Amino acid sequence: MKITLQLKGPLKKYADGTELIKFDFDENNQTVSELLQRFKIPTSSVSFVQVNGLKKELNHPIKGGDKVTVNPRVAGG
Amino acid sequence: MKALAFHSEKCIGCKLCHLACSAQNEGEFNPRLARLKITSIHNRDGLMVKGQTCDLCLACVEACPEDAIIEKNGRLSFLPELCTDCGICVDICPPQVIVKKSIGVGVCVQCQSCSNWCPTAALTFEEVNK
Amino acid sequence: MAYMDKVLRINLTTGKSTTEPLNKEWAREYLGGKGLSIKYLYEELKPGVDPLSANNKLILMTGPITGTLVPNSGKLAIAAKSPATGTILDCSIGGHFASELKFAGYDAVIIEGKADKPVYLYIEDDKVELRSAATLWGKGAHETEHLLYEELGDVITLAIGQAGENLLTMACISSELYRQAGRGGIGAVMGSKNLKAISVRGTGGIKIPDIRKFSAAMNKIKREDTMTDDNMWAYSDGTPMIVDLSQSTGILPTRNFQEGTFDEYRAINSDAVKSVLKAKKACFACPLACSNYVKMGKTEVEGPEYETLALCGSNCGIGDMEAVIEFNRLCDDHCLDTISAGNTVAFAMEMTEKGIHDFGIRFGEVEKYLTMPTLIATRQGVGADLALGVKKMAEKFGGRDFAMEIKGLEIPGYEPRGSWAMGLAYGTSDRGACHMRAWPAAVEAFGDIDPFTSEGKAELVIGMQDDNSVKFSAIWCDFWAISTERMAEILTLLLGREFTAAELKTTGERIYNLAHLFNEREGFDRKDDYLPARIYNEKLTTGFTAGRSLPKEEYEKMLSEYYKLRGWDENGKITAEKKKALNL
Repeated sequence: MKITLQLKGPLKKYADGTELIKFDFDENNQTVSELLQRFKIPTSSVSFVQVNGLKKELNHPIKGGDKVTVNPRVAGG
Repeated sequence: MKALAFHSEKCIGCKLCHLACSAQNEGEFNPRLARLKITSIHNRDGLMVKGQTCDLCLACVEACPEDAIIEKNGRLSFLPELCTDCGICVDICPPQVIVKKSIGVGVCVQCQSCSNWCPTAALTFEEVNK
Repeated sequence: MAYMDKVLRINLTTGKSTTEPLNKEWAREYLGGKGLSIKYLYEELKPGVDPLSANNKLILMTGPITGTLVPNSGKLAIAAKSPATGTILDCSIGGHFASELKFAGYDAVIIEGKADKPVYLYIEDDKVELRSAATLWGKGAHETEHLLYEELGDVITLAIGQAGENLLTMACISSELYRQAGRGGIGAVMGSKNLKAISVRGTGGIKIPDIRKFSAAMNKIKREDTMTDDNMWAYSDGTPMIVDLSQSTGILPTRNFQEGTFDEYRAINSDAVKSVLKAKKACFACPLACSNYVKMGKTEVEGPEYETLALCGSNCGIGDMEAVIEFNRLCDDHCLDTISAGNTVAFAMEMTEKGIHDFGIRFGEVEKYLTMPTLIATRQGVGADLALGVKKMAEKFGGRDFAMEIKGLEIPGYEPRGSWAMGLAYGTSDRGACHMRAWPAAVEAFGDIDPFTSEGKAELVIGMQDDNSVKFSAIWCDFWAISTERMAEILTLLLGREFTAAELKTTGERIYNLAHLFNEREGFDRKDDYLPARIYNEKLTTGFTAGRSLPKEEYEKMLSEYYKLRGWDENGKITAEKKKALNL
C-alpha cells in the first residue's frame, strides 16, 4: 500500500530535505509512532501529527492511501 | 589563499558577525568596531542587503608607508609599534573595513569568528583568486 | 558590564534630560525589560493616572543580555499605563533599537510630561536632543523613518503613524518599518506626548569579563540549543506555519470568531507566504530569522505574521494573500496593531451582517477592507466609529455578546473554545487578551494535553506566565523555547553571580504579581477576568472543535483554581502572605 508522508518545517531534514514523500508501506497495523521511528524522527521534536488533515494520537493505525503530516514544535505565538 | 566571502541572498541581518568580530578582536561587544560591515535595512526601494568584507586584496599592505600591516601565510597582522596613525590604509581599503581606533587601526586577521558565528552561511571562508 | 548602569530621563514638558544610575536593587529583583519597567512605573505613577495625560510615563527598557552575543537577545520592552485597558502595559519590539540604545550607553529611557509642539528625540551617545517634528507630524511611520534616516544617517528609529497621533487605543509603535510594539495603544501614549519618533545611534560597546570564553560558550549554545528542531520552524516558515496547525485543530478565528476553521485557509497559510518570499530577516543577535520579507503585486511587507493572517485574514473572511499583505503594510505604516484592527473590522462586519448597525462592510469584501486602515487611523468616515475599538463600539452600537475583547484588548488568533487554557491565559493576562503572557495552545491544541478540560490548566498557565515574565525581562525573544535552567546558566556566565532555575521562577512570579498589583491598584479584580459570552454560550460547528464551547462553569473552575494556586483570594486580590513572600 502507498502512503504519503509530509514533514513540515525543520523536520524535512529527516528525509534529506524532502517535504513530501510517497512510498510503499507494506506492514499491516503500523501506527504513527512506528512510522516516526522508521524515519528516526524523535517524538520530542513533534508537536502533533495529522492523518488526512485530522489531529491523531501517536498510536493511530495507518491505512493505505493515508496522508500523514508531521508538525514540528513551535514556541511563542 | 582563503578569505571571507559574503553571500547576500543568505544574510538575515542579525549582526552576530559584527559582535563576534568585536568580541574576539577588541574584547567588547561593539558592532562599530567590527572589521566587516554588513548592512540589512529597508530603504525606499525595499530591502537592501550589502556586505563589505576583507578579501585579502593586500592594498593596505602595499600602501602602508611603515610596513605596519603585513601578510604572512594568508593572514594579515597589524604591528602597532610601527603605526604612525597616518590613516592611509583606512582610506585606501577597497571594501572599507579597516577600523580607525583611538590609537592604531583594526584589520581583518582572518580569524573566522564572524563566519563561525554566521547562522546561515552567508559569510564563508573560502579560496579566493589571487 | 552587562548593565550600563545609566538611565536617561527626559521631561518633554520642560525639555530637560538627565541621567541617573539604574536602581541596582530593583534590577536584582526584576532583571530588566518587562519586570524592571513595570517596577519603575509602579513606583512612579500615581494610581488612577489618565494614560493619555502628561502624567503617564513611557519607558524603554533593555535587559542585561541586550547587545551581547546571547542568542535571541534583540528585544526591547516599551511600557506605560495602557490607554486601551487602563492596566499596566508592557510591549516587546524586535529589530535593532534595543542594542543600539545600549551601545549609546543606556539601560533605559524614561519619558515624562508632554511637549507643547510635535518633537522627536535624537540620542547619539551622550548627546540628547529634542528636535521639531513639525514636518513629520501627519506622516506615516514609514515615511517618518525614511526621512529621519536620510537626515541623521545610520540611526535606528521608533516612530508612530497617524493612529498614534490621533490617540487610537489600537495605535502601535513601528521600527524598521515592519516591527511593532503592538498592543494596548502604546503608540497613543507617544502621540499624547507629542512625541513622533525616537532615533538612536550608539557607538560604544559592552565589556564583560572573559568575553572570548563567554562568546565560545554562547556559540555552542546557539548551535546545540537554539538552532534545533524545536526552534528552526522560525527559519523554515516563521509564524505563518501556525495557520495550518490552527486550521487542523479548529482554533483558527474565522468571521469574528463565529467558526474555528476557514475554507480558504490555503490562500493564507505558510505555503502561500513562501510562494512570495523574497528574503528571511532577523532581529539583532537572532539566528532564527522568523521574519519573511515578501513581495506580491505592487505591495510588500515583512510579514504577514500568523496573528495578521488570522485576525486580518480568516477572521475578516479574507482568503486573499495580496489583500492581507497590503492591509498589513497599511497597518504598519499608519501604526495600527493588526490584532486589534483585524478584530475591529471583523466586529463591524458581523454587526453589519446581523443588521445591528450598518458599518457598510461585510465579511470578505476585499475592496472596502483595504480602505479601512487609513480610515480608522485618521478617524475619517466610518473609520471614526471603528477607531473606538471593539469594546467601545459594542458599548455604543450593541453586539456585546460577540465583542471579542477582554479588559478592552481584542483577542489574538487562538480560539479559546478549542484550547481552554488559552481562555484562562487571556482572562488572567496582565494587559487584557494577550497570547504572549502564556501560550498554552502549543501544548493543548498543538500538543498532547486535552484541550477540552479544565483539569490542570491553572497550573499550566501559571508556569508559563512566570517563565515568560523572566524571558521578557532578561529580555529574550519568545521564539527560542529556552528552559529556565538555560536562562540561569547564561545569566550566571554573563553577570558573574549564581542564578538558579528556582530563583528565576520566583523572579518570574514576582514580576507577574507586581503587574497584577499595579492592576489591582487601578481597581481590577475577578469581575474583569472573564471572556466574551460567545465563548461560553455558542458552540463551534466545524472541524476538530465542532460542538465545542468553553462552558462558563468550567471557566469559573479554572479561574478559582488559578487564584488559589497564585496565592490570591477568591476575588483575585494578592494575599498579604504572598506579597510578603515575594517582597512586594
